[in-house]
Amino acid sequence: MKKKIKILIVDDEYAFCRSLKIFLEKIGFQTIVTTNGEHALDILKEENPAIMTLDIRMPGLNGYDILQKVKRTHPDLFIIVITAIDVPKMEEMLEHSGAHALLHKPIDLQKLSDTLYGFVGHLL
Amino acid sequence: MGRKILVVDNHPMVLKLIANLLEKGGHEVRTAEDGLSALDILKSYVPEIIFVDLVMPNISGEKLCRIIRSMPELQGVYLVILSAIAAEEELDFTALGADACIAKGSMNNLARHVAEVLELAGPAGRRKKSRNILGLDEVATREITRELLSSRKHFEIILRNMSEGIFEFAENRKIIFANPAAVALVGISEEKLLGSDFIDIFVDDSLETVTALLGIPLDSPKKISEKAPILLNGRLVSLQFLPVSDETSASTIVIIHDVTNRKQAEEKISDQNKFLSKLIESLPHPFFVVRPKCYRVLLANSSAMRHIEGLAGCPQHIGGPDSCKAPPPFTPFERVQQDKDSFLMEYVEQARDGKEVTHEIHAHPIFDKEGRVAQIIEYRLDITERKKAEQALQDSKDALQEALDNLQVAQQVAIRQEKLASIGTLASGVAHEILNPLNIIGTLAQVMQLEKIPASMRENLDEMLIQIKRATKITNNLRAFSHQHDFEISMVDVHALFDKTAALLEYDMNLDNVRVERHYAPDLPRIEADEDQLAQVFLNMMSNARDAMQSGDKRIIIETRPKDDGIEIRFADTGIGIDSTEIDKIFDPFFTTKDPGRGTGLGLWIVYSIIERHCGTIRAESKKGKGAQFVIFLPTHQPDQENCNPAEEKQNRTHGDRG
Repeated sequence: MKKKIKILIVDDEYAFCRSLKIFLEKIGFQTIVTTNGEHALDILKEENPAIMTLDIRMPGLNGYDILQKVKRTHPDLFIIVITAIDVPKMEEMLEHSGAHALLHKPIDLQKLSDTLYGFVGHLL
Repeated sequence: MGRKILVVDNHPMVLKLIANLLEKGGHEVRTAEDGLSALDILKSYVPEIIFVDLVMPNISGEKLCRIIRSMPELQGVYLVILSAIAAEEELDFTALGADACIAKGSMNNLARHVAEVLELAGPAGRRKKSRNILGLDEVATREITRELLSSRKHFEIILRNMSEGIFEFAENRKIIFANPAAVALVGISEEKLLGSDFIDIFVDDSLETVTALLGIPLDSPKKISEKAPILLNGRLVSLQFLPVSDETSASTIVIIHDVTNRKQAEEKISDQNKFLSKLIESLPHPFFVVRPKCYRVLLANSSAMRHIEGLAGCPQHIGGPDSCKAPPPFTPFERVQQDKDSFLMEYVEQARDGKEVTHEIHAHPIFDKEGRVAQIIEYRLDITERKKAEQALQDSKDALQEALDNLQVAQQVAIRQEKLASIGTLASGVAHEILNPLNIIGTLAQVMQLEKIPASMRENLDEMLIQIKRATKITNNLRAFSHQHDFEISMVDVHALFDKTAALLEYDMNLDNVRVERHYAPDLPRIEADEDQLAQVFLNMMSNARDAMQSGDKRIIIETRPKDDGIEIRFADTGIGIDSTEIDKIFDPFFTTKDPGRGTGLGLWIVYSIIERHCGTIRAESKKGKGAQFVIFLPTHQPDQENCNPAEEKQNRTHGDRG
């Protein structure tokens, strides 16, 4: 059996993390969940996931901070920002910070899976 | 016993005859050939009887009689008149104070009548007055004498009644005639005047003047003119000296004019003129008087000469020669002549130093008795400073008004922005907090849909997701304001932006059978705007239009054109239109006519807010059932954000034509 692609889910809302985890595993990904920014950095080091879904507004280390930090350390990491924040030019700003895709909350799971498969196809 | 007798007669034969006659009778006789000599004698000699010839040169018999009767020391004298003209002139000798009168006839008769008179004159206390003229019946009337007497009478009347004082004095300057006017003028009785020295009627300076004039022999008329009159008894008089001479004697007639009143009047006028000249001269403003029609200057004060080009050398005093012509403008003169009324105008001219000076020109007519304009007065007030002050005042008033307007606008903007900001901040925070739970619910619902579940539950989950989308939409609309501080201006091609926006809705529009017609102006300029926000406007406008069209002809017509310093965009639809009672409220937040669940009530409010943010205007024009039209104006250039035009601000609030 082929090794599953590892996705790190970063969001301070545990309920969301859990439902996303169910969905992603259902569509064939392996997931790691954290609700803490600092913890996310540790997991990235230890687990080296291929994909990360990232919330922006979080207590402690927030999404932007994480983007800034991982841009150099994990240049190959595919990052999908999933946020309730919507400000103009946000997409450009996030792209500039190293994010690859932006999805707004409430999330459309179909869109998420399209984005993921798009990337996975690129990996293969 | 002999008596003291004086005989006065200018006829030497008569004088001699009577003197001889009387001396033979043993009387003491003195003789005089005229009144003046007689008066001289009477100063030292008091006779008992005096014979006086009526017609004599110098002082006449009549006058002499009066003088004698006025002398107290001669009260008792017996006065006899000798008249050569008794036949020609009726004489009331008693009125002259005479006791008897003898008509001069032949020498024999005369001697007889003298003797009779001496009888009548008797010793003092027994004297009798003669009742009639002795010898009157012995003389015949001579026509020539009558005529001469008549003409003399005329002259006497004239002399008596003329207003000029007439004196006559003899070679030795003794007065021999003074008419009533002369007597009145001098204030000395005729009796005293006659025989006195003419120059004695003068005193002080006048005395010197007259003495000097009469010091040289008078062979031609002389005059003390009214220009330099002398004082006589407190009056100002001019004098004319006319020498009169015949073979036997020479005398001088003096005509005296009392010029006091005239002189006083002249002096008064002169004083008044001086006063007026002084008054006019003291005016700091240019002042001058011109003659109508020719505009010759009659008078100009020194201010006028200094300040008005062409007035230098004009007459400065009343009555001076009017040599120069008045300076322009002539309008005030023309208007005063035409209107016969005062005229006022402002006049700007270059002063000699090149600076611009504003004068207020006042022109006033002076009328003659017939009511014609005889002179025109003009004076000028330099109002340059006042004008400047007024302008400065107006400027500062304008500036103040502008500042006030700006303040009001700023206040309105501040209030609105504060409102928007607080709504925005709230919306932003609330949105985030709402979206997160919605996200969780939504995700869970979608995950549940992946499970094998009954169809009814699947439908419920679908409905849940629809409601989540609805809540999301409202939340996102509200949140639109939290981004307004991120106002990013770029040059926007409105047509391209609209096309791009319309493309997003193309699917929905086709689904609803809505046609979008574009009437683009080919020369529409790019405008400074926030592209995302403008796209939001177009989206909202189109969604709104689509929702207003439920059936029938469904068209959205967009029309653009350049207007003033910006562009005008018209959005029209063929929908249900807006009720006139609601047209005022359509831009209010949370106002909606849509069914619950279809509209948020924020669409047009967002449009309004974004356009306002761009210093633009929007108004709605509609009639219920006849579609709606929105007219948007957007300026080409964005001013400072807190500085929109207040007029547009006001227009903005007038939402539309209520038809």
